[in-house]
Amino acid sequence: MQKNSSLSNIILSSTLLMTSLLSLPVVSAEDFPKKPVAMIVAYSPGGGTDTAARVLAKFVGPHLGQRLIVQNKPGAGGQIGFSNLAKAKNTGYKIGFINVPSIFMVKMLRENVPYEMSDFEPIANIQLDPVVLAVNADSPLKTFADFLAAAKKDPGKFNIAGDGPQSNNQLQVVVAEDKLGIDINFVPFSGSGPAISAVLGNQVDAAVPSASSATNHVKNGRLRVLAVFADKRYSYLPDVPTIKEASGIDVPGIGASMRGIAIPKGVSAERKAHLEKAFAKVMVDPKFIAHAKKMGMPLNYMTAQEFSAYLVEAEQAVKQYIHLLK
Amino acid sequence: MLRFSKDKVFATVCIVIAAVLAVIVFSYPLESSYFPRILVVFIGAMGSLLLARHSLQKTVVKAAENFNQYKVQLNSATLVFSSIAAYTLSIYLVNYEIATALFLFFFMLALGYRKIAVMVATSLSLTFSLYLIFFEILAVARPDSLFFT
Amino acid sequence: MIDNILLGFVTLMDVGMLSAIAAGVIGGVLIGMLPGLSSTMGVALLIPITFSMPAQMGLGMLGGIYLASTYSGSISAILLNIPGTSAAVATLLDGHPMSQKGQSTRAIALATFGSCIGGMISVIALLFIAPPLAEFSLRFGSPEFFLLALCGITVIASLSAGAMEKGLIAGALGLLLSTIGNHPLTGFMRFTADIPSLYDGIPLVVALIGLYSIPEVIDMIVRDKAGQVPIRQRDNANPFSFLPEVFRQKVNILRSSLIGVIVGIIPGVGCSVGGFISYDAAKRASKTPEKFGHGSAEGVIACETANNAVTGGTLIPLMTLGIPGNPVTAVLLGGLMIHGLTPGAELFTINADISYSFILSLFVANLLFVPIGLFVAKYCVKVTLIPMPVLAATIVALAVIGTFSIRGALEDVAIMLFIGAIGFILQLFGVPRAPMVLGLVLGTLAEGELARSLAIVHGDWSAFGIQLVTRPISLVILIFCIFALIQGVMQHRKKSKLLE
Repeated sequence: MQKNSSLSNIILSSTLLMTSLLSLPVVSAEDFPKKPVAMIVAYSPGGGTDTAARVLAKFVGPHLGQRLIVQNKPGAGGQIGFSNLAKAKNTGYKIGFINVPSIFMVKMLRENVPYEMSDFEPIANIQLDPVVLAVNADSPLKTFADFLAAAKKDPGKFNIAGDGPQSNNQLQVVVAEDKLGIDINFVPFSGSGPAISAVLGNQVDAAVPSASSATNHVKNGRLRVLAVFADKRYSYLPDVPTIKEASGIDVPGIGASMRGIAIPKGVSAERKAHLEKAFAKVMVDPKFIAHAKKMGMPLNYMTAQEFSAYLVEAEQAVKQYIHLLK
Repeated sequence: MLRFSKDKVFATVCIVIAAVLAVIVFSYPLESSYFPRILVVFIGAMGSLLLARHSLQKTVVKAAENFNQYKVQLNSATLVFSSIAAYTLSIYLVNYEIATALFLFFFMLALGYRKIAVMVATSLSLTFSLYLIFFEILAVARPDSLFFT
Repeated sequence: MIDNILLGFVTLMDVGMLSAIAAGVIGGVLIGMLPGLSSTMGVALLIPITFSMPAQMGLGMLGGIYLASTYSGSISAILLNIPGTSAAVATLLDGHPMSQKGQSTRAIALATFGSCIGGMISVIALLFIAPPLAEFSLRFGSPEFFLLALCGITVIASLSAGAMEKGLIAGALGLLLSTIGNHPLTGFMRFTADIPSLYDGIPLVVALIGLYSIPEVIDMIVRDKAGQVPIRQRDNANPFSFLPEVFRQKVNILRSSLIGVIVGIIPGVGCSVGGFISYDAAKRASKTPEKFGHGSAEGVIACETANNAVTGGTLIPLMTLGIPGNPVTAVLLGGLMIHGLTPGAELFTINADISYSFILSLFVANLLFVPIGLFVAKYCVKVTLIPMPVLAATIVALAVIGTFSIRGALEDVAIMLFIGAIGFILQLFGVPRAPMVLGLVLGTLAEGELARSLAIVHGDWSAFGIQLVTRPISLVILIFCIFALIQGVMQHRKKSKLLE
């Protein structure tokens, strides 16, 4: 009896071992990652992109199987960080948090930028933060139609504040000007924050901040958002119409700031698959979603395929309008 | 023996720098460069004023100084600048901790310190402290080096 | 509100909470003291540590770092002639000469108590009159910012007493350095030589390291070679014995605190400017302006009180409107967001317990850095006993890693050395460096806001001129500016007459 049981134990444990060995995912065959993975962020510590990156890094760790460490490489509007990622070793231990459309705009607006879009392979998109049109809560402009009327009445005189120069917000403005047939005066400020302050203090007529930076001021009743430059309504501002709903004209939302994960090209398929899976998992992790909601982070997951399709499409669209910013 | 007025040299340096920068800055489009244009002109004007005042006032001639006094300063500056350049290069080539410990040791040696035990102890403990503060506590990403990363 | 304050007080009285603040203060004192580590870097890099803490604890710790590092930059400024943070550049002007007279403890004590009082007054403003002050800050538009920058630039003249042309040249050079990189409105690249590291301009901290650490190391070597042994100070004074001296300067402290709070609530200016402006104001009001620059107690107290009064000031628009006033508070905003706290009315209603305990924790932090700072300083005063080669090597190593850590780029060491060369040349020719720092700090503001003011009126200079005199705040600043200039000229004339 006793003998029998020990024998069955051995059989049981060995079958368990066998099944566990067999059921091990193929990716772990080479045991990646063995050490912490570094993620290049092309902006300074403490900024919006960096904050998002650090929160994401904290939650993706368990899914990745190793810590994800944020490496700030700020400077030249992201150029230094993006170049750094393009040149990084393709072992899969260095990944990057990229900003679209900044990554295109830097390349297209400047000469001698040492990277090509083909140097990167997308892994996943994490965030989509569209540009919105906002006015002071006391402004006589109540709807988007009011704005259009005001802008058309006095061409070139309507002052609109936004992050800039040569930012995604300005890109969105020139696209809107082109599609809506208006001429407004874009005044660059050093970030969406100062642009919003200028609207709050009635220094300018309107602003085009990112939706995430405007949301809080809308909730405090100081800012009114007239339209969001995107195909879909913004989840934290569900009452605000999209530009198409507001004007009937389809203005492409290419100024929307997308934040996603990319790797230098040439990383082995197995490692790439592991990274893709980790980010896919964190995007459905209820703890991460709850935290992102608390922070007002506009999550928008895209798989590697979707993200690369978007990149190709967006690059074409940005190319079409970039000359207006030069 | 070379004798000169410190202020006169400074004024001349300013005028030369202002002239060189003026050539650059006046080639930029006006709307992006009126601010630096004004500054360059201002620096040139102030330099000229300083030069004129010192050339006219007789009393200033007393302030003429001996060039040799500055030799020590220039030599020390050369030592500091070249040491930092070498240190940075070795961080880039080797790795941060090794480069730092070596730099600390040799820099102290170059400054004429000879207490070997103190030097070794300082180099090692300081390197360790810097490593701890910057890379562990503050979690700054380490510099990428070619070897021994 | 009172019950909210009481509620905050209850949350505060917790061992975990108090130790978080204390940890923040200790960390802040060290970060501020080490040349090359700025307050912004300290807060930014430590935010991830606060992730897993409860919101009020994390914020208390970040607040402690901010306040303590703003203060402790003065310790290295006083002892080594190297400002630990940009806020301490004005402190250096009188703090270091005082230390050279063998009164290091006195200088540090004055700076510590001044900082504490200034910080306290600003937190009181934050606690009781934040909403109206925040509304006031919104009335500042580009023309006002431009005039303020201009007003700040006039302080250059006051910093260059005794060497007017040289000081003005240094100031202009600083302004010129600030124009390196892209134009704030057109994006046109200037003086960059196609080096991407220069596209955004020279980071202030990199410039400070180059301008002060490098020349000081060279100077140490020169002094050593000339056989000058640093004075072995028998400085055993009790720092608290200088407390009455601080309290005698009630007017100075009040004025400096007021300047600090106002500078703080105006977005985009910052601690160093607060220090400079109140230094200038104290000098103008002083009965003994000639002592400024040679170890004047008034000077040390004025700028240290003001730069810590800025800290509470910057938190006012941050917490009420979500508008950060300087780089540190921009980073703090990120810290608030991570904990799910959105600035604005919600912060004082739904999250009142967290907000009020955060504000109260700032009081604690302001009090805590006094004993901690003085304790650390007690050992730092002995820095003159360290053999020169050891000290010089340490400063250089800190300069290099500090420069690297700002943007994670070794290339920035080259920028630091370039500025170091400028700093060395200025020192060689006896040119004051403080005007250059002021120029560097205010240049981007002056240029950007002028261009922006013009963009808002569609490039019409006459419309801009009319705006300057018709906008009420702008008119007040303009009158103040002209008044200060006239007074400065009068004082200058009076002094030259006395000399004759």
